[in-house]
Parts: sequence; structure tokens; C-alpha cells
Amino acid sequence: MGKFYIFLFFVVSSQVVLAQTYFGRLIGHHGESIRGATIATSPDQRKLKTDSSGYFSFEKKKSEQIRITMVGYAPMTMALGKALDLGTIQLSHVDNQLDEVIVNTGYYKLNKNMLTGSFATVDQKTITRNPAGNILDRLEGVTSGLQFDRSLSVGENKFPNALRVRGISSIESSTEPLIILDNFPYEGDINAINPNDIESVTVLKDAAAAAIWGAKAGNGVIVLTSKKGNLSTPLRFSFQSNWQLTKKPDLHYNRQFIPAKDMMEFEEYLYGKGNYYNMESLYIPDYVGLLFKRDAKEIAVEDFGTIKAQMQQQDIRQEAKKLLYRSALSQRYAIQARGGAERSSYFISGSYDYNPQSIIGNGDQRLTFNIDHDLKIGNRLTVNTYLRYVADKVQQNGYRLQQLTASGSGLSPYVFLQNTDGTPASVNYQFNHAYRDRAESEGLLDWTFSPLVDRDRRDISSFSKQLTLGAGLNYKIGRGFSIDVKYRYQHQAVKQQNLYDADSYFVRNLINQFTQADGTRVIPLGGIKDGQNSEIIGHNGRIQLDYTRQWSVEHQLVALAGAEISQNTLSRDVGYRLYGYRADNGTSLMNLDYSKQYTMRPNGASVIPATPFEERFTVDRFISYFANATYLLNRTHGLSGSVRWDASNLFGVKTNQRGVPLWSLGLSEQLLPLLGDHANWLDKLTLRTTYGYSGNVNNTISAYPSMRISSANLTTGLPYAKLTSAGNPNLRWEKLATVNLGLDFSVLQQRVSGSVDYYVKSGKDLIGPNYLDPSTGISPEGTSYYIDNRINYANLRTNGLDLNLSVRALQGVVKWDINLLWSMTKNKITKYMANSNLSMDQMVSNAQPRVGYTRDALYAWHFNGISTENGQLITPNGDQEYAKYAANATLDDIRFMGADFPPYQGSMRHHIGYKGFELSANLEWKNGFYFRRNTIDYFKLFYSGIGHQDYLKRWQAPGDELMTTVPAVPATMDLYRDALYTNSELMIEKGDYIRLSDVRLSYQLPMGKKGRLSVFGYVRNVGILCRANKVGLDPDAVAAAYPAPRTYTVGVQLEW
Amino acid sequence: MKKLIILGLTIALTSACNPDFLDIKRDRKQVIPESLDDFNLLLGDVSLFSGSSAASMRSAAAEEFTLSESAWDLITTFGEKNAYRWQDERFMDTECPDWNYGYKRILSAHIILEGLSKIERTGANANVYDQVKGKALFHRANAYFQLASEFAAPIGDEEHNAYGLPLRKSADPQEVSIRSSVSETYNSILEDLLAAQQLLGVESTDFYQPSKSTAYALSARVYLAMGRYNDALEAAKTVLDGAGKLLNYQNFSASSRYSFPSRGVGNSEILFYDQGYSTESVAPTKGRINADLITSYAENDLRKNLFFKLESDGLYSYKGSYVGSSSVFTGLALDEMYLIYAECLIRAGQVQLGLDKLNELLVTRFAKNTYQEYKGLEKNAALDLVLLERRKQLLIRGLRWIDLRRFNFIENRNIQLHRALAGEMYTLMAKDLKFTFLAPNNVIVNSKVIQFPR
Repeated sequence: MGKFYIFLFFVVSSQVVLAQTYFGRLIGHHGESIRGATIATSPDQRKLKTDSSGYFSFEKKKSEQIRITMVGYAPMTMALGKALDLGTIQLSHVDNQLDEVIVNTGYYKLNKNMLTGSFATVDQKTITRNPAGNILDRLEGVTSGLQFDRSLSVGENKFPNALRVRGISSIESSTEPLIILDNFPYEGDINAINPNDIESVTVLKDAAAAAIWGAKAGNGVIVLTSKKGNLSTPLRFSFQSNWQLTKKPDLHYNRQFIPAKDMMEFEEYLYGKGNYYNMESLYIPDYVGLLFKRDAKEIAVEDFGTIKAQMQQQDIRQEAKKLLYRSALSQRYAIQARGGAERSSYFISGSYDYNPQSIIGNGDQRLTFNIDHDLKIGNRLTVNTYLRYVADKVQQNGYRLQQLTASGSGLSPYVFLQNTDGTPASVNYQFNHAYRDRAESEGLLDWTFSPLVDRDRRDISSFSKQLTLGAGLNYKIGRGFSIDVKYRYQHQAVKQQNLYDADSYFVRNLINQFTQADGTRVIPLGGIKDGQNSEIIGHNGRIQLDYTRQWSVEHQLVALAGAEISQNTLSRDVGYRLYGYRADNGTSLMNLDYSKQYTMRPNGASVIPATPFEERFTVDRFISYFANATYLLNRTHGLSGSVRWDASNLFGVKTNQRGVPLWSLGLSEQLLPLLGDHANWLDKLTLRTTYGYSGNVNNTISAYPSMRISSANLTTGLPYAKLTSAGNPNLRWEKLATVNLGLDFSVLQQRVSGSVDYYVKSGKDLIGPNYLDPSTGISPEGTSYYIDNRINYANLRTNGLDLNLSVRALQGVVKWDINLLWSMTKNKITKYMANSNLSMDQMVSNAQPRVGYTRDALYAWHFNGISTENGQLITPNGDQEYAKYAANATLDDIRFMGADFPPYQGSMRHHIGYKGFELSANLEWKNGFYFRRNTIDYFKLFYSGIGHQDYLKRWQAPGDELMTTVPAVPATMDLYRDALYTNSELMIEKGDYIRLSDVRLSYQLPMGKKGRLSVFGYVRNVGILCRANKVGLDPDAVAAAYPAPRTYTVGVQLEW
Repeated sequence: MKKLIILGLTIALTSACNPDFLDIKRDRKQVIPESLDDFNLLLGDVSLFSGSSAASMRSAAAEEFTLSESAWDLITTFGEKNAYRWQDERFMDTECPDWNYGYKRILSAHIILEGLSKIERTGANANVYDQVKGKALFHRANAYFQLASEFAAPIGDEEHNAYGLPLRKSADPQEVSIRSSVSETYNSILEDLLAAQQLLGVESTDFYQPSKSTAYALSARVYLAMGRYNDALEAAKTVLDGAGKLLNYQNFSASSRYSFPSRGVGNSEILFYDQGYSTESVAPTKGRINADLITSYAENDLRKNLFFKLESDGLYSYKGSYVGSSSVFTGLALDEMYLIYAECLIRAGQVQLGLDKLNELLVTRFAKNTYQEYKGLEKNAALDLVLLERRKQLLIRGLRWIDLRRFNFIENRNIQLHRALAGEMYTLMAKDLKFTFLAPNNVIVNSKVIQFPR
């Protein structure tokens, strides 16, 4: 092939010599031919391209100079002289250009064109676009193959967004990707990373990319790379600040609500049926308490009427919105300095974030400091040292709407936070009103609870400090060899400190509970302070031999081999509790008898809790050996391979199963040379393919019988242990095989570029629960197994497609860039080895793996309408024998409704620039999935007072069945009936939606020579543009009390 | 330089290879139970061995209390709900807590017993070793007995002798369960108890840890259930000869929510503490004690006001549990031993001796100086009396069901039970197959256990 071109060149050049033709060859930094570079002549304005070997030629005509441009290389201008042979022209590389991304895997950095695996990179500009204080939040919607599952939040309990890199590869084990910060796994709190210090993010998606991380890499790897200084660059400062306003949450979003008037009617109905028991201490709803009082003639009829009317007018949500929540204004400040002399470079940064939360009384603050230094000693040795320090404080004093009751019952809609005169009201919290109100007359302390007051009477804070020290040595031995030694020390100390004032509910309640029948107080008056300290100490060390060699244009090899050792220690002390604590002088009382069992009010017995905490101490140790090599032939044929062996001290895993060898192989091929010059419009076409294994560590399983020791039992006051596993000698590590096939392309002079990746991941020996004969002693309590029932139980196949497309639509005065990300992910259980003992009701409410179906399966009961006679549900059998129907149901009786995790996700980001203005917006969409909405569950309503607005649409009289599908209030409870209805196909909604996630507008002001000042405005969670479900639910907040509120941010960025 | 680096690499790689580095225990609190100390920690799990006995179904089925329709409706546990009216519909949540909790105790006992077999019993550890073994055997026997009372065919029902409990041979979850015969089941229980009697010490730190007399007390209960009255007599005598003191009910106030101290604190009658994991139906919010039982208490009988509370609906709820809450006490107490001893003496023809023992107990249950001692009754009248007093003193302890099985299947007393609920009448015939609960469906599916016939 090459010979042919050279021949062609001679033929062509021998002809053009006569016609005064310039000719030459373009090569890169490493001597590689540069194909497809643009050569523009001036002033006669002609354009041509270099061929696949970098050669070019053009007629002299009136040309005086040429300008050579090629993405990834610095442009070059050259005057034309008399000599027609321009010789070999070398262009120098430029980093951070599109398609010339340096990918950092945490072990090595490679130019993207040497890669065989699948990577997603997020550059500095994209990271800065979203001003969120958490680095992972900034990746949402802008990272190919990274999926955020926000549907895990239930009520107001916010769970961190679960991340999936290319879907799931495990069932019960963690699906969280491994996070690498500066070459080592990051074990701390992700919120402790200052996003302003992060230069770039790389997501390692396939086996070739992730296998180097071995047993921890099965869920994908996210590599965060910090900013550094550059040699021989002048000192530069930058400063960022923003203010973010978070709107009050939408408390009306939660459909589990029945208005006061209707709820009171219902409670009166239950009261009439005798469903409430007025026991001295037992919690009953306020209105029921009032009814008891009325019937006991303890309240005048007119007073009853007044209070009832007041209750009927009340909507706790309105009051809570005003008194428990606020619009929160966050402030963030960050400053960086970077620069470098001839032999040393540095990066120093600091930041401060202040984030009050929407719930009054809650908030957090973060302070970070970071210094990174590189020193070159001689020509061979580079020494890198860094120090990072983070301090943060989280305060949780506030009460949320759902925390206004401690009884386990639902919140009554007519609860008052304030009395009519504006004073804080006593909220029906834990015990019966009457019991509570009688307290003081019986010599107890006031037992009332007012959230508005109580949030100021407690200080529940957690302080965390994190110090990271790192050092690295890189020594160039010569002949392409270099040796790299890295060490990192990480220390995170967390201090949890809870301070309850003497008049806080917590203290009064505890004192009252422990007040004996004769009135003696076991718990002394005064405040209570308790807390616990914990510490994570990590050591990571690595020694690595690198080899980089380029023999000629034909052969290029990058290889490495090394070993790594790590130890992570988590220790949490047993904590303390001080009774009779006085904050003013720090004294407390020590004369308590912790050994004696005391009777408690209203019932029970216990020793005085000396500390509510448990000690914990774990050590994780890993030893790994690894090697990786990439070979490039003729810059067109690439071959890569990696091996890794991990061993750890995982509890109970038998010695011979401790270690696990993992490997990967990859091939890449530049297709352009094969196409010849016919595809001139193509700039790049590379095919990549890889295959390999990574693993998934599960450190909670045990091959031996095991037990967990608890330090003290509140009954006996003595330490004890609970059996946690009967032992399973056959347990193996989960293993994941991944095939990836990728194509990178770029056309029309990089105007359109992108990649497509197809992958198949096969998870083997996945660990999950087995359903055992309960005579083994292994059976659930509630829904939890305290004794391990897990085995290697299933195989899972996940396949999918990642598409990544960038279009530079306009490049003139107005710049318009479009970035499109799209992914398809599907999974299927291919093997299931556990005993199946599921009732169909369990299958519907909590889908279990089923061969041939997705792990994200959603099942539902058939809905067969409601009866015209009594408004009750009709089973698919046409009768009303719910228990019988549910008990006899088989898999044929339930309907597979689809997946509850979106198999298709995409985002499209537009970016328009005009002079100093930049406007960008990101659209995200998810489709092909379903979710189950909640509805009225009469069992919950009867038993816990948890309502639902569907109650208002219930069947009430014959004929209603034509208008509604909501069954009538039943006369008696039937769990089967509620299950058949709440889990029926009626509740399954299509999840598809398109969301405008954010809009950003910025303006850059000219400021001196090198200075830059830009201001920006940013709106996040702008809104859902269209959704498939008709009930107005946000598919990302199905079980949550409200969707993530919209935020508005304004900020400045200053550089000088 | 190069040599130095190679040397450094070699050291780094070989030192990492040192296997000790990986031998450290990952979690200090997560332990493979291997030592006697470890087993003692497992035995300290009072919520398992003393906090969750299998008693909810037999408590609900024994017809000691009634439920209104709305109260029955509010019960969430299906096993309990169905047992109340002697129905055996398949439970919706296929788990059967009574079965599950019983076998959880057995698993932990097996882990301890198997661990012990790997430790050498030496002169130095003999005492602790024997204690640990004795306790594990006691707990196993206790759990099997509770399970047998619900899921094994009654003793005396020769036709169904094949339907004993699955007796587990090891802690290995792979072992497939298979039913033993009823006689094998009870033999195994007695074998464990005989061994425990020899191994356990006289003293015990608290009533959560079984002692020698606890093992005899359980033997007395088991022998009585089996109709082996002479053996029961001997066992009960051994207990009564030892320490332990009856409560004097005059010292308790009837105005408390629950009459006896919470969790049995300071209750000198308790020999071994055990409570049902949950029994919703007897809670004062729901269960109402049968009127015939209430009227059987004399006016000066303190139990009437200590055990029961007159509710606003005009019926009586139960508040006399030795747990000191609404939970069912299923442990062993001295009053039961008095009653076993008295009953067995009377059955053995020593009627007055038996009545004396009964008097000794009852005098502490009556208002001061008002108790009239029983004297000179003939044998049958004395037996009827002691059985009635047994019912009155030991109600809501899960024992009535065991007694009913004994009366109907061993003594052919032909006691039928009747129940009305939501306009329907339910009857449990004297030798009804429903005196044995069905094995849970998930046992049948995942083992070789054969379902009890219906």
C-alpha cells in the first residue's frame, strides 16, 4: 500500500515539476505522517489536503505563503521561497483539542488514538458548565454511558443518585462505579471533592479500559484528574463565585394526602366502627381524640364544634411550607493560582461553600485547600507532592413535614404548627394527647412537642476533616524505560455531635420515660450530649515500570507493569453520652447506675443507654499486580492487552479463592488508509474492539459461619453476638466479561465527529438471595435476612449502544455547537439458580430475577374493574375472592409490563456563542420504561392513617363505576384486595419524558491583556417539557415527596 | 541506578507477597464463632433465645379470648388471623413466623454444638464447655417442643405418628429437611433435656441463661404434655426443691397498665424468660377474655383485677403477662411447676399432698387472710380443681393449646371449641386434624417434608 503511494507520488511529482509545483511531507511530533491536514495558500486562496502518508503538492501559481492546519496540531504558516521541495515539515501537538484527548486511566495516560477500549471524557469546559458543588452532579447528562437513577428517593429521604455505568452488571451487589481521584481509589465522601479542582473526568466503560482496575472495576470506573501547574508558565489566578437559589419544594406534589375534611369524615367512620382503642398512652389522631372527649363529655358541644371547624380549615402543607421550609440561598467561592518556573510548577487552590437547605435548620458548609507541586531534578527525575485539606460541617436540626409524627402513623392533614395567636403549637407526636397532657400533673416534665421551637433546642452536627498527602517519583531510566512510584495517605475524621438542650423534646421525653412510679428520676435534669468519632485512614502505594518506545513510524509500544498495595482502615469508636450536660461549663453527671434495669413509661424496661452507638473497626487490604501494553503498527493497527491479579483479606473467603486473575485484549484499526483517497470528506475512521474480564468485590459475604458482635444489649447490659451466616463454602467472586465494538469517526474537517460503541456484558456467578427451606433457620424477618442467604445465583447479560456526536454547526462570528449523547441499555437474566418460592404477590411488588426477563422488570396484576354493587375490586376470575385468587395465581396470571429503568436515554446540548455571549441548554430524555404510581391503599389508611388523593375519586354509589376505577371504602380489611388493586396494571405508567435540565447564559467581558471576567446565569431543573404519564408525575420522583426543586444560579469567573 | 531500582522493585513485590498481610481479619466485630467465648456471646442473644418464641398461632387458636370483627380485621399476621378461626388458607406472605423463629433458635444451637465438637474439652475449660453445651441443648429442646406443639401431630394420635417435626442434623443449609416421627421428635427433645440436666450448673447469672433447674422445669412441662405424669412429677419436684420464690400478689397494684414488672424485672417466679415474638390478638386493644373464665375467679381472688381490666366495651382485656406488656409470656415460671406437681400428685393418688401444694400457691394469689384452703377432696374433684386452677393461673402463655391436645388425644376428654366471627360459626372437634397446623408452604416446596393431611 505504502509503496503504491510513493510510486504515485513520484509519478505525480515528476509531472508537476515541469509546472512549477511545490511539494513536501507533513509529519507529527513522533514522526507520524499527518493525513488530511488542510493546506491553504494565500493570497490565491486554494485549499488542499495531505494524503495518507502526509505528502502534498500544489502548483505554484501566485501563492506566496501557506497555512497548514490540522486538528490536534498547532497551525503553521510558512512563506514560500524559490525551493520547490518544502521538505519534511513537522507540526507540533496541541493538547486539549477535540479528538486529541489524553485519556487518564489512573495507571497510564494515552493519546486517544492509541486506545482500543471505550472511554468517555468530560473536559474542563463541560465540568465548569454546571456550577453544582458536587462533582458527580456536574456529570449528569453530559457523560456518555453514565446513567443517573434518581428514582430511589422515597418520601423526603433523599438517597444519592445511584450511578450506572452502562446499565447494571450485578444484581444484589453494589452497582456503584469505582471512583478514582489522582490515580488511587477515592474512599471518602464524594461531597468533599472541590469540583473546581478537577481538570478532567474519564469514564472507563469496557473491559480494556477498566480491567486494569481489576476486581473493583465491574461497575465501571470514573477517573477524576486534578488540575496541575505547567512548567515555564507565568503565575495565573482565577476566582469563581456563585449564588444559588433553590426554590421551596412543592409539598403538594405528594399524592399521599387526603384533605382535612375528608380525612376527618373517614376517621369518624372508623371511630364509629370501634377501630380506635383509647388506651392511655397509645397514639390516636387528634380528631379521634376529640371524638373520645366529646363522647366522654369532657368537652362542651360548642367547643367541639369550634375545634372541628378549625381542623377542617387546616392544610398542614400550607403551614409547613411557610414555617418548616424556605428558599435556600447557597454561596460558593473558589480561588486558584497556578504557574511554573523552568524546573517546578505548582497549583494552589481554596474554596468555601455555604449551603443552607430548604428545610429550616439544616445546612452544610465546606472549606477546601489544595496544593500540588512538581519539581524536576536533573533531566530524569520528577518529584510530585500534593496536599489536600477539606473541612465540612453538616447540621440537621430541622423537622421535615414527614417528621412531624413519631408514632408510625401517617401525618394528619389538620395538624397545626401554630396556635391561632401565632405561638408554636404542640403537635400530636408520639403518645396520646391525654396521656401527654397529664404528665405535668403527675410530676413529670412537660411532654409536649413543638417542632418550631424544638429545632432551636438541638444541635445535631457532623464535622468532617479530610487530609490527603501524596507523593510521586518518576525517574527516566533511559531507552524508553521509566519508573514511577506513588504513595498516598488519606485521613478522614468525622465527628458526630448531638447536643440536646435541657428543654428539648428529646431530653424531656427520655427523662419522662425513665421516671419511676414513685416519681424518682433516673435520668437527671439538664441537657444531653452524645456523639461518636470515626476515622478512615488509607494508605495506597504503587510501583510501576513504564516503557515507551517508538522504533520508527511503524512500531510504537507503550507498556507498563507494576504492583500495588493498599490498606483502608475504618474505625468508629463506641461513642459517648453525657447526661445532665451543661454546655456553659461542659460538666455532666456521672452518678448513674447503668447496670440496673428500670421500668419505662408508658411500658417496657431498659438499662440507661450509656451510649447509643456501636463500635466498628474494619481493615480492607488489597494486593494487586498488573501489566498493560499497547502496540501500534504503522499508526493504523493497534493491539492492547492487560492482566491483573487481585487478592484481599475479605472476611471468610477461603484462601484459594482470595485472588482472582482478570485480563483483557483489544484491537484497533484505522480504516482511513484502507479507503484510500476516495473518502476525502472523512477525517477519521477507527474501529476498536475489546474483550476482557473485570470483577465485582462483595465484602459482605462469608464462606464460614459468622456472627456479629454487639457491645451491649439494652436488656441485659451485656455484650452478645448475632449469627449472620451459616456459611457457604461454595461462594465465588462475581465475574464480568465485556465485549466492546466501537467506531470513532470525524468528517468534514472535524465539523462532525463522534463515536458509536456496541457492547455486551455478561455477568457470571452473580450473588443474590436464595429461598431456603426455613427449617434451615435461614428465613426473613419482615423483609430482611439477618442470616445470610446468598449464593452465586444468576447470570445476567447486558447489551447496549453508546452514541456520541458533536456537530460544529456554525463556526463564524456566531458559533453553534451541538453535542448529542444517546444510549441504549438492556439487560436480561440468562440463568437463575436460586429456589423459587415466590408468591405472585411478591413477584409483583418486588420483582425477582426470571430467566429471559430483564432485572428491571415490572409486573402487575390484571385489572378487571370494580363491582357495580359494592364498588369493590373484581378479580380476573370475576369474583371477589381476593385471597383465593392471589394464592392460586401463577406466572401466567401476572403481566410483564416492561422495564422500570429507562433503556433509552439521551441528551442534547446546544451551545451558541456570539462575541462574548454564550448560551447553552441541555435537553435530556429517557424513554422505553414504566413506573408504578401509588394510589389509595385502604389497609394503610385503616391501619396507619396514610391516605391518598385517589380516595376522593372512590366509588360511593352504584353508577360511580362508570366514572372511576377507585374501589369503595371496604367494610373490612383485606390485604389481598389492596395488593391486587395497588399493584394492578392500572397503576403502571409510561415513564417517557423530555426534560429541559438546564440553561446557561454567560458573558465574557474583555479585561486587559490576559485577564478575563465572565458572568453567568444558570437555571437547573427547568422543567419537564413533555411526559407520557397523564397523572403529572415526574418519573424521576415517583416515590419521592417532591421532585428536585428548580435552582437559579448567578456567578462570576475571573482570571488574571 | 538501574540496579537500585530493580532491587527496590523486588523488595516491594516480594514483601507484598507476604501472606500475613492478607490474613488480618477484615472486621473486628464480624467473627467466625470458634471459641467458648464466641459461643457464650451467641448465647447472650436474648432477643433470639428469649424474645421470639413460636407461640402466636397456638395462642390465637386456644380459645382463651375472643375478638370482635373489627379487632380481628385489624390483625396483620395471617397465620394468627387464620389460627384464630382454625382455618388454614395459604398465607399471603408465605413466611410463617412461628415456624421460622423456632428453627432460627435451632440453627444457632447447631452452630454452637458443631463448634464445640471442634474444641477439646480439657480440665481447664470443662466447666465453661459443659455450660455452653447444656445451654445450647436446652434451647434446642425448647424450640423443638414449641414447634412440636403446633406443627407435629399430637401425642396419642397414633394414626399420625409419622408427622413429627423435621429434626435438623446440622447447621448446613444444604441438608434437606425430612419429617421424623412424633415419638422421634419427643425422644430427641427429652434426650437433649436429660443431657442438659447433667451439664448445666445450679447457678445462673439471670433468667435468660438456663440452669439445671430450668432444664428440669422444661422436662416437667414436656413430660406433662406427653402424659408421662410420674416423670413430670419427679422433674417438677426437683425444681421445687431448689431456689425460687412465689410472688405474693398482694404486693402488686391493680391500677397499673400492666400488673407485673416490665420484662420480668425482679419477678422471682420466673425460671426462664421467654416471650412470643408478637401476638397481636391478645393485646388489650383487641383480645377480650372469655366470660366463663372471668366469672371463675372469686371476688377475693387478686388475679381478677391483676390479670384483667374492664374495658369501655364492658369486656375484659388481659394485663397479667409476666412480660409486663401485651406480649405473651412463654417462659418457665414457678407457678407452673406448682401446678404440674400438684396435678401429678393428685393423678398419682396423693390427693391431699397435691392439694397442699395447690394451697401453697393459691394463698399468694388471694387477698390477705381471705384464702380458704382446699382439703379432703376426692381424686376426681381434686383433679378438676387443679386443672381449672391451671387454666386460671397459666392463661395466655401458649400452654392452653398444649393442654387441649393432651386432654383430647391422650385423655379423650372430648373438648370441643366454638367460635363466632362475622356471623359465621367455627368449631374445632375434639380430635380434629386442625389441632395440628399445616407446615408452611415454603417448607413443603423446598424440602422433603410431607404436608399434614386435612
